[in-house]
Amino acid sequence: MKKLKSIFTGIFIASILSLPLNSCKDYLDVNNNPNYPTDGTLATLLPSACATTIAQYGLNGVILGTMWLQHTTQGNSTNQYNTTVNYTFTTASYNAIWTNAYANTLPDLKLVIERAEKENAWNYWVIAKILTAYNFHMLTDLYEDIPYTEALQAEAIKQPKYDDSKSVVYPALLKMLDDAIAKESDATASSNPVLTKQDLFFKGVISKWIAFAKSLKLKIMMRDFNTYKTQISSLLSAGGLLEENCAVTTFEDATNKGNPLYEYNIRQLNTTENIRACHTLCEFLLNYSDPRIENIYELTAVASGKIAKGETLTYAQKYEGLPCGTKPPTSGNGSVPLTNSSKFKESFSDPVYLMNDAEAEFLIAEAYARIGDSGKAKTYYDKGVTKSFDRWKESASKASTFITDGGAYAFNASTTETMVKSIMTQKWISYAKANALDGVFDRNRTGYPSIDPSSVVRVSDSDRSKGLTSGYILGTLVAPGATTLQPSEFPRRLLVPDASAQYNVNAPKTKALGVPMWWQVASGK
Amino acid sequence: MLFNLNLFYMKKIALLLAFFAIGLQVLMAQTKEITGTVTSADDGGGIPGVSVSVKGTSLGTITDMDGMFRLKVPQDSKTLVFSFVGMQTQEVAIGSQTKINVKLMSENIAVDEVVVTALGIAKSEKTLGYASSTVKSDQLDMAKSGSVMGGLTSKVAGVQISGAGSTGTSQKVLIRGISSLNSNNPLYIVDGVPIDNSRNGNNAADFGNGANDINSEDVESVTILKGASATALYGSRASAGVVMITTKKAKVESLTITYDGTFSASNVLRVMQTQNLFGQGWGTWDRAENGSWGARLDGTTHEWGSEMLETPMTKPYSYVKNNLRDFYQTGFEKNNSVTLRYGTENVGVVASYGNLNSNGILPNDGDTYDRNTFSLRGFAKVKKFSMDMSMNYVRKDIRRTDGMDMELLQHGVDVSFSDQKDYNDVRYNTDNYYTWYAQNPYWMIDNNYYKYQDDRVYGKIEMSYELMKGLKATGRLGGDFSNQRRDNVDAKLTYSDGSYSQEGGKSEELGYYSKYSYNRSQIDATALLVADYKIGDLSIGGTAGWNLNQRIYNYNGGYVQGLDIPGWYNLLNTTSSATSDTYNSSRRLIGAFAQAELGYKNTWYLNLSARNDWSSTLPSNDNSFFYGGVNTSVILTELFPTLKAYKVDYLKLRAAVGQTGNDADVYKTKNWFTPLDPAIYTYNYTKLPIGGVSGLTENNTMASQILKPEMTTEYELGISGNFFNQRVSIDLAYYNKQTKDQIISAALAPETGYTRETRNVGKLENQGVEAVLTVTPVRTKNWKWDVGGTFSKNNSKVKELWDGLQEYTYTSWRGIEYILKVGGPIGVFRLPSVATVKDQSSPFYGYRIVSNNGFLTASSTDKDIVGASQPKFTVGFNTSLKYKNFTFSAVADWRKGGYMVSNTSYISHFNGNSTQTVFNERNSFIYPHSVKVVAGNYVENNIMVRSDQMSYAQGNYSYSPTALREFILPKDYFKLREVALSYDFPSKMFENTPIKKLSLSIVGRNLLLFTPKENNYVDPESSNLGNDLLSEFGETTGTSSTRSFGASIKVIF
Repeated sequence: MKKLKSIFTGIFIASILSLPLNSCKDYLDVNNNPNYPTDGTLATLLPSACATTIAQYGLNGVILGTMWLQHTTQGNSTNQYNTTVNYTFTTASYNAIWTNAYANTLPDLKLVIERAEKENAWNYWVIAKILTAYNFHMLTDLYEDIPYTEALQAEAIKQPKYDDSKSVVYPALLKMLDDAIAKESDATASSNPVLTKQDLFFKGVISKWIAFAKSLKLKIMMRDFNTYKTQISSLLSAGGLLEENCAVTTFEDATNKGNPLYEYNIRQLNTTENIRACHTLCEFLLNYSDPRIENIYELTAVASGKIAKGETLTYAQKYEGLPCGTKPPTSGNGSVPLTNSSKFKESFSDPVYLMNDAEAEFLIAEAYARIGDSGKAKTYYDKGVTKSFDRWKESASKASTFITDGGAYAFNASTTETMVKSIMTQKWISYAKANALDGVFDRNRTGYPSIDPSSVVRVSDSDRSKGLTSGYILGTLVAPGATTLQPSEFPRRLLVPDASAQYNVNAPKTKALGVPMWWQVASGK
Repeated sequence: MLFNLNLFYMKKIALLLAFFAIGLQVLMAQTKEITGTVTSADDGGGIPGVSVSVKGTSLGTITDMDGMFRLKVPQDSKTLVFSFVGMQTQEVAIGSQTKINVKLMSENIAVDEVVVTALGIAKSEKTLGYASSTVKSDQLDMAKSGSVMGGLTSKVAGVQISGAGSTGTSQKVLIRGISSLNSNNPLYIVDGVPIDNSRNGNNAADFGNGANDINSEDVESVTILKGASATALYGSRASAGVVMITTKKAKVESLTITYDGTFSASNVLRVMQTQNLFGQGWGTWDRAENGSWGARLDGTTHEWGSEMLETPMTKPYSYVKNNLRDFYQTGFEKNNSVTLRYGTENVGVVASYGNLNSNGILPNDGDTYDRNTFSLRGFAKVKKFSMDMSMNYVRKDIRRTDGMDMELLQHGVDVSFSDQKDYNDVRYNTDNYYTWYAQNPYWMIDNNYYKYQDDRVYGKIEMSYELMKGLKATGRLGGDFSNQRRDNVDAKLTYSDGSYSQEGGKSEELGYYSKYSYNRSQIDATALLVADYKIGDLSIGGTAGWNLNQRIYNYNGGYVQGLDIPGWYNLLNTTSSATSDTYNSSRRLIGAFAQAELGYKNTWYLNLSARNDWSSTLPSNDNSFFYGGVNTSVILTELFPTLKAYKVDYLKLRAAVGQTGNDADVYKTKNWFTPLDPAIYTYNYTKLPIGGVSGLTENNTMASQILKPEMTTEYELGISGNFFNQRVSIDLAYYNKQTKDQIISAALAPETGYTRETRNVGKLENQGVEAVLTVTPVRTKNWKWDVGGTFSKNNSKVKELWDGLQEYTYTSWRGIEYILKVGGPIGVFRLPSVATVKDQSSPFYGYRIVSNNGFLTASSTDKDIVGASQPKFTVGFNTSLKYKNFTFSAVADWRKGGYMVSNTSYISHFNGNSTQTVFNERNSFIYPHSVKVVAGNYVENNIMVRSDQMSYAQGNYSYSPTALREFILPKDYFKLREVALSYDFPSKMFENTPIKKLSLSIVGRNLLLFTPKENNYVDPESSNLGNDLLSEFGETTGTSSTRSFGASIKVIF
């Protein structure tokens, strides 16, 4: 018994003595997260910034763009994008675009820029600057006034002020691009770190980034043509603008590694039937037997069944759209069964574009048209249409018959307005399965495609004898069913998001969805 | 042989006892013989089997069948101790008596109860200046729920306990409301040491929380410490209250073996009520639709289901009654438990084994739970040294289905589920299942599931030594270690070429498999010095101690998204690569604490406590925090003895004020970088590496270097008393609890570069009253009737947020926000308003605005508040009626007020199955008092909402803001929770048998549920969103709650 007692007393005293009073600090020093690194390198941050740049614009950007441009509409058996096609927007809608850009992409780019300056990694620096400009420009074109000068400084500023789009953000972005362009020679020096696949867009080729920066400059300045007329002219004459796609193309056929829209809408939703051809674009392409239809829409199930049996079908027998916004039933009277309408063509490997090659040419064409150089305008218009056709094997080299004199898409050089209309109409088509959100900006900037407030595209939703509504002009948009906007109105912006409005006292009261931004055509146009 | 012990049993447990058999003394000096009878104070009958022993020795005997005993004791023996299970132990001075008759009182009518307080220190109830509620095993286990916290439901004022319902799922316990945005889970203490109570599982599958692992047969009592003053000694982890579980100890008793067996059957309690007027379709009849927006049901026989069958199926187009109810099966559950007890003054041991096995209400054995518990507990005393230990091993095997519940709600009301049970039948298989938008739920059960297995060991060793009279040193080491394995299987599913499903464009299932193992461990060490002195009328006590707590959590595993070969569940089964996933976390806490107690006569008590913690989760240069409490009680019946003349047996006033600090979660003080992963950045579907390029992005939550501990300050006043010869007892408490500097990931506007920031925020207030009333209207020799009630009312208020912020969206779903608004209660539901004409000069001012299809539109800026999630009050009722050996008891509760969001309501509005979708019998109408907009002007609305568009007008919130409102349900309910009828066989029946006690009971749980008519969807207690503030938001469709009936037998040998 005595022994036990002394053992116990010993344990007790030992445990009291071992109170880690001195070593307390070390003992408690276990709060460094062992699971993740506490720092990111240039080579890891840039790929993330590239990937988050396309994560939202390749998903929600494409959905908004393609549906609002009436390339596609919500399928009649499902409901995923009802609120998008009928413009039922609240301050909670599409907040992810804002949140992703500000909290994921831009902070990583900011770190890249800071690190690159310390490490003399000017190749990283140039790319990060240009991507930063691109991301801010998308934000300002979606929301107009945005936090810029006080953004991304969480340590010091919790409530960044919103900056005026026209007077602050736009000039700052142009300067940012000029700074990047000016660093071209530093960025190509051999002292720079090796940068290849970490750049998901151009594999580290700086000259291509400089070209993209110049085209992006042009895109920005075209928002305010009169102000920037001189700069636009000199930019055009200096040349060196983008001639290829700025896009991510390295997608894999595995969950969350493919095209973001495909991942969400096809691989991970419980139905693949949501996004379908819309009469507005479908009828346009059918009318001109435009071969690009093959790459934009799927064959209807009925058509593919017939083709499997060896029948030869015309485009009109192969493709069928749905009316924009209103959804005919899938069975019964006045119905369009699922098997009779075309799905939007989607693949895991679809690129996500920041700017497509046709778009870059159309930009130049429009600039020349507005300058008054119809010859050059036509040259670049033809290039644009050609590149749009050449995007896919099925339509490659088929543009020439369309743009030749007397062809369906021949350039109308009569007036500035006819030139712009030619360009913007073709540009509208070229955005299908590309960066369609830019098409929304272009529509709101130029008024093309214009809006036909009184019409629906077709006399009948369901009847295959179809026939366009009398007075409807192909290539114009119609009011979707159950729209919350006036039939002649079009969404001009995203609402100031809850994510900002609730936690930033400087967030302005949101303007309504249909209120034009400073660079846009007037309401009703 | 000193003890009346059966040799056979003796041998069996000899091995177990060897460890404890220290100091059995056989000492015989000059003796005398004492005889007597032990009777029950309740009914006057003799009690057999009562242990009679000489205090301080191992001498003793037990009473015979008539309650008589005969014992030889040494001449100098001073005191006899009488003890029996369920009775209060009594000590009687021997003096010169040779005949001693004793009346034992049953434990639940104790006047001066001894309660267990913080750190396991036992105290007289009257010395406490704060509220503490104890529920004893007989009440706890009345309805044989097999779950300790389940058995506590609605029996304690101020404590809300709710659970998902089916066996083995977790229980949410909220003490005095939601007081923290961080964590509101109480600390669970078993026999003085903390155990882990984390919820295992996710929103799809709930594998229970830590307290589920305790065999309720092992539990002697549960004490809830509610206020900060009571919990201060437990330190930071007790800021949401403490649930102290005390297990059964061996007393001075001969070897007994207790067998408990309960067998019960269960069925589904609540299924949503579907409408019965309209059948399958969407706008019009459609064979492939998963909803009921079709034509009016007319009973005509028509074709349905797959078009590709050789013989098309036909059925009447009429409502299928009890469709959902018939889908479920009867569940069966058996709970068996064997306990061995043996004890003397100096050693005692309890060993138990329990098995709870349940096959729940899902068909095809889709929901099974098997729990095995082994427990060995004992104590030994040798002179001034004593030791106490417990060791528990728990093994669980659980199967749950994954995602089936949603499929069940997606059907046409004319389509019978149970007819389609055989999914191998060509008519109902995956190629031909009638709808393209949901799977056959029977197929889901068999093919998409979780399997869970865990091993857990917890226990403690405690040693005490009496350093000198009145001063005791104690060391206590507790540990809790669990190891879980979890497999999640979602089958890969493709459809045959040209099949009905494929032609319909039904999504194929990619298949998913994950395998994870999780480890949790907790070590808790405490050293204590306890002093207890009496100087004249003054009693002085003190406690000083030190505590160390370390918790480690880690997991490793991996998953494959997109299986290659169907039916093969292995991380190798992929065409790309499995994603592996590991995580480790550890945290440490050191505390030093002291407590002083003063007592004057038996009249006035004062208690002071203080604690300082050093936590690893706070910034390393500032990780120390101090807090404490004071409480006092005055026994009015001692102060004014004349009160007793007014039938006041006992009356106590109490007051307390206390503080508890709380530290942060791990890793909140430094930023880190994570791979880009949709699992973290939920609105993106892009994950690196892509094309051989990986990447890191900075975590969206900004760390804080200046975190302070969260601090709860609570004031409490109370009065308790017994009246009319113990026939009436009351306990009233008022409290006011303020929690400030809550550590949360506060939302930041994303333009700052982060979406959240770890920081101290806000101030929340909870104040409320708790009342407990127990009345014994009848107490005679044969009859005893008790009626009791608890009442709890808690008012919460957001007093401050941060940086002048007026509101904070805690979470949101489909446009419904769950917000905290300064001045309002914690957790309020809000949704977009119907757009109305705002122009006061317009003749249509206040009219609702419709879209060009005649549907109401939602305002993009204005919002309506619906109400709070918290109840206005809750009431618990309980009664027990004893007649001779029969006891009938019942427990019910009523919740008034509060709201919840229901995904069940959402999905059944969407697909036209809810009763609310047959508004106006789906006839065309024009929204009254509304305008349309024509060329920018308001014009009286004349647009008819067509009946074929009702799916938008009434079921689709994106077209109809009024549908959104109907997803928010009132949370009121009345529930009959427990009913039990038990019968104790008279002990005379077992003369000449080894049986000492036999009782039988019939039990029922959750027999009735009443809810307001707006909620014909779900059991309002069901939430699958965890066990904290988020779960108050509502449900996203989880398991269904059950009712059960059973019979139970208890035998003591």
